[in-house]
This record gives sequence, C-alpha cells and structure tokens, in this order.
Amino acid sequence: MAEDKLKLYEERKKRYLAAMNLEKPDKVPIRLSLSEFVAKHAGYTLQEIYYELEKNIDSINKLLTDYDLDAITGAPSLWWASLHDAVGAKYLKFAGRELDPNTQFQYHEEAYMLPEDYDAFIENPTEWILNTFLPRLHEELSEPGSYRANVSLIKGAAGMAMQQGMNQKAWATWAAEYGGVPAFTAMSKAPFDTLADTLRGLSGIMLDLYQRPEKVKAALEVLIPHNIFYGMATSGGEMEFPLFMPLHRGSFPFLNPKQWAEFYWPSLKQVIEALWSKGKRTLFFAEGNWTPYLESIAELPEKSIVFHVDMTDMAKAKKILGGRFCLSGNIPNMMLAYGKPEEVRDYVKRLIDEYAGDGGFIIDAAAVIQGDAREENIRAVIEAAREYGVY
Amino acid sequence: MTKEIVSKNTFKNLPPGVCVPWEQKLKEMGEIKGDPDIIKKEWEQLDAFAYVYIWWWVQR
Amino acid sequence: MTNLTDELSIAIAELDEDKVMALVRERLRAGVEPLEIVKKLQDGMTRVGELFETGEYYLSELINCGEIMKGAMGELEPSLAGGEQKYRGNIVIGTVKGDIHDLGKNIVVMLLKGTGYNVIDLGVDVPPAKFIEAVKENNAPLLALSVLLTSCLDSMKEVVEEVKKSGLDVKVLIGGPIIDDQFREYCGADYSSNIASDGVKYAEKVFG
Repeated sequence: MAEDKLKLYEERKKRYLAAMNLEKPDKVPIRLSLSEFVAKHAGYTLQEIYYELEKNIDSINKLLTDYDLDAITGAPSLWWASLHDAVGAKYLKFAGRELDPNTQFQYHEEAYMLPEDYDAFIENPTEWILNTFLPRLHEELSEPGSYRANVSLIKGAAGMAMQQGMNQKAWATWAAEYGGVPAFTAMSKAPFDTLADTLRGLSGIMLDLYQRPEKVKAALEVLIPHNIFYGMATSGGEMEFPLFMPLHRGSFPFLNPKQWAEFYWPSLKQVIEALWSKGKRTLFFAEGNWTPYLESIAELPEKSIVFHVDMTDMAKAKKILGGRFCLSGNIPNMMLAYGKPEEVRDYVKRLIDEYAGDGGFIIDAAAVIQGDAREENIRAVIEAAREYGVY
Repeated sequence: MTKEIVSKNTFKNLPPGVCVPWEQKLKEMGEIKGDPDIIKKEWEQLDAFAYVYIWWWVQR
Repeated sequence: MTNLTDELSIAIAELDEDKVMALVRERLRAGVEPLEIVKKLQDGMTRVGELFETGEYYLSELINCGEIMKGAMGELEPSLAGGEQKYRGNIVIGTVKGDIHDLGKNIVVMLLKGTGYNVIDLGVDVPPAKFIEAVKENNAPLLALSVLLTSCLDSMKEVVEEVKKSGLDVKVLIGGPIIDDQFREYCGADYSSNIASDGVKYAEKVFG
C-alpha cells in the first residue's frame, strides 16, 4: 500500500466512522451511493458493466481517480447478468439483452411464492427455496434433476464465488491504490421485505395481510434468524463498517399504521437489534418516505443505525432521530439529473448548515445515483461539501 | 407461472446457515477414524456456503 | 366526499369481501340489472379512492379493494356479456419506454376501471408511437403516462412532445413517485401527480 494512499484511507475511514458514531469529524464525510453513473463516467455501456465483471470493477478505478469520496458503495452493478443468464433467472432484466444496451436494469416482480407455499416455507425455508422457489425463478432449473438443471446449479454457485472473489480483490486494490473506503460490508433485509419483494410480490403480500395474516406472521418469525445470519455471513467478520439494508415496503403509504406496527416493524427491529448486539451497525436505507414512522425508529439502540433520508421529511428526521443516529442523504436525484450545479451547491450548503452542525451527518444523494445524473452536478456536490463541510 | 413443483421437506426447523445438518451426516458416515471436529468444521463451512447461495436469490 | 347508502357500495368501501360476493350473487339471483350492480360497486370504489386521498386508506387497502372488485366482476361477467356497458370515456395508459415497472400504473388502472372508465392499458416499456396509435384508434381524450425511474424521464418527455406534435386533441397526465410540477413543465404535460388516486381526479376534469 502506497504510503500516501494508506494515509488517505485512514483519514477517510476515521471521518466516516466518526460521523456514524455521532462525533464531529474534521469534515462532513461524503458517501455517494453511485451505481450506473459510474459506468457512464468511465465510458462503459451498461451492458458492459452488467455482463463483464472486469469492467464493472474497473469503472470504480476511474471514479476514485477523479473524485474525492470518503466512502464508496462498490462496483456499480450489484448483479452479474451473465450469472443470471447461466441459471435463467427471470427476476431481473438487463441492458443488452431484454433492454437497450444503456438502459438501467429492472426488476420484474411476480408472486413466485404462492399462498399454498406458506406451510412448507415456514417448516424449512432453505429447502423450500431450493426445491420449489428456484425452479420457478430459474428457467434452467425448471426440471429439477435434469441435465440442464444440474449444470445451472454448478454455474450459479461457482458464479457467486467468482464474483465474490473478484470483488474482494477489487476492494483491496481500491484501498491500497486509491484510498477507497467501503460504505458498507454486508447486506440483509427487513423480514417483511424478504417476503414481499422476491417471494410473494407486492400484490400477493397485500392480500395475505387480509386473507392469511397468521401465516404472514409465522413466516416473518421464521425469517428473523435467517436475516440476522445472512447479514453476519455476508459481512465476512468485518465489523467496523455498517451493513446495507435497502428498505422497501415499510415506506409510506404502503401499509396502514396498524399493519406497519404489526407486520413490518417488530421483525425488522429484532434483526437490527440482534446485528447491533453482535457489533454490526445497519445502514437503514429508507427508500421513499418514512416520516410517519420516525418515532418508532427512534426506539432502536443509540448509534445502531445510520438513518438514510430519501423522501422522508429531513427536518422531522433531524428533530426525532438527530443526536441518536447519524443521518445521511436527501440530495434529490431529480436535481442531480435535471438541476443546475448552482442549485446543487445551494442544496448541499443548506443541508450542512441545517443538519450537520453537531456532527453525525453524511452527505449523499436521496436514492442510488443512476446514469441520468450529470457529471457537473456530482462535482458540485463534492465541491460544496468540501467547501462548507469543514468543522 | 411455470409448472407446479410440490416437494416435501427433508428437514424441519433447521437453523440458519444449515442445508444438511452435520448430525445427520455424522450418522451416515459411520466410524470416523481421525478427529471428527475437523470433518465437522469443514462440512459446516461448505454447507453454509450452499446456504448463502440459496438465500442470495431471495435476499435482494 | 361520496355519501354511500347502498349496502353493496358500503361493503366494497369497507373491504368486506364475503359480504360483497354474497350481495352480488343475491342481487343477480333477484334479477337486478348487472350494470346496476356494477354501478354500485363503482360507487364503493370511488369512495375507496377518496379514503386513500384523505390518508385514511393506504396502498394495502387499495390493492385489497382491487382484488375484491376483480372477484365481483368475475361473478358478474357471464351476465354482463351481450349487454352494452356504458363507459364514461376512453383512457390510454402505459409505462414509458425503458421502464418496466407497473405497480403504480396498475393501481391507477384499477381505480379508473373501478370508477367506470374504459382503460386501454398498453403495459410497460411502451414506445411513443404505440401511445399515439392507441390514442388515435380509441379516440381517447386522456393519455396517462407512468414512470418510476428518473433515468426514464426523458423517455416520458419524448412521448409528450410527440403527442403535442401530432396535433391530437388529447390531454396528457404524467404520474410516478418522483414526478413534480417542475418536471411537468419541463416535459410539457397537462397534468402531473405522484398520488395514485389523482388519476380519477384528473379524469373527472377531462370527462367532466
């Protein structure tokens, strides 16, 4: 590790960790949740970064060369499209295949789990996922036991290991050669989201809440230890940086307050508390608007989360959660895509003036930054944060 | 939706991280001539890898 | 706010599925005009939309109501066949090119259908030409465009521009969680909203 890069890494890490511990670092840390933007910046098509791991990883080298970021979220594409092809996964659609070569990947949600699957799922979810869910989700696995199905299992598992190995190597390089610090080092979900996103789908889960609430509750109960385990397993023993938890169906106005309190919150709270008791903090990536639930979220142990603001009322978040948890986010993605650099600068300055004063604040966009963000606006975020964000 | 695949579970109430429990495998292995803890540790490590692969398709 | 007096309308508004199904069957047996039953269902659905707007109902109630409605319409279908259903007007809707998300759009469609409109749903990833073709073919006075991804906003703008260029007499409503007035102006649409129940509100405006 080059001496100066090591120093840079340590400086940035200290800054980032201090904010999450509600301390005042030397400067307000900048953590940008950059995804497809990184490909555009590096001159790759989206098809290239989705399909080719080397390019997906290489695009970050260019980013780290050009931008001064305290924490990065890693290679722009979480998913390797080639691996999805190898198993015939239907859940995601990728650029270059179903979509134009420069179109953002997309989810295709369906109820791959049916109402009658609840009992088998509750009895042994791991076995049910492999034997029933994956053959529905993966075309190559549609006839379990067949040649194609067996091959797809080998490719899938090997693919995951290859992707993980390359990412691990990439993180070592980013740290050593660019002083790049990870924004998070693990991933898990709210049990309700696990059930609602990939398994039952939105319509499915919404009906279940009315037609079979007890099954939903039993399934959530079963998921709690799995989601804790999954978080710890993906952390690989790394405990300083937080775990990434993208939160979906708990945002307003999906569930009514009674449903939220009964179905969404208790299992999520248990997962976060268990992770925290093991020393792992959660990056509570609250997509959408969470304003009505801030009081409940405040019940979590101090510093156990970083509360990320997308469309949540920032002033209320600060009032209710400030001093208890570090806050991040809130720069509108619409502004990054369609606004002018001056507007962006003003917005960042205002965020820092109003919310960063006593520490515990991280600069980031409201949502993941896709290919529509303009270079000059990303630059404006960083410049303004460095100009106004010195304590 | 593709064809119905209904299966009966082989195991019940397994803890997270486990696909095929070591206790089951141990019974099937019969006599172990060396250190069973080494074999157990390695079994469980690969079993956990399979577990993460399976759940990876759901935890997204 | 709609004041409901009919038992069936109230049952729909209260999401009482068993009661809705029982009443539909009972009325069909009693020889009530199927279209009359549909009208009562629509009144209940309108009320559900209003309750969503005022914050008393959430998406979970909307989606549940849509499913109950689907069940009731399934029961009515055999009797409706042959009868001429009167719609309040034609509306073309779809998610713009590049975007395959349809949760929001489907809720809007459900509310519009539920309140008596003939909705031509073009689905997702719809290119501009297809929207224009459908508006022409159905002589639709309202075109509704849905989007979730910010990266597909330009695709929405393109549709609005093409529509305006074509000289068609059609109002354009754009919707999605990230849509605001600023963007409406940017792309030149007539109406915009980020609330699902607004679809019905703007339809009332267009169809009076």
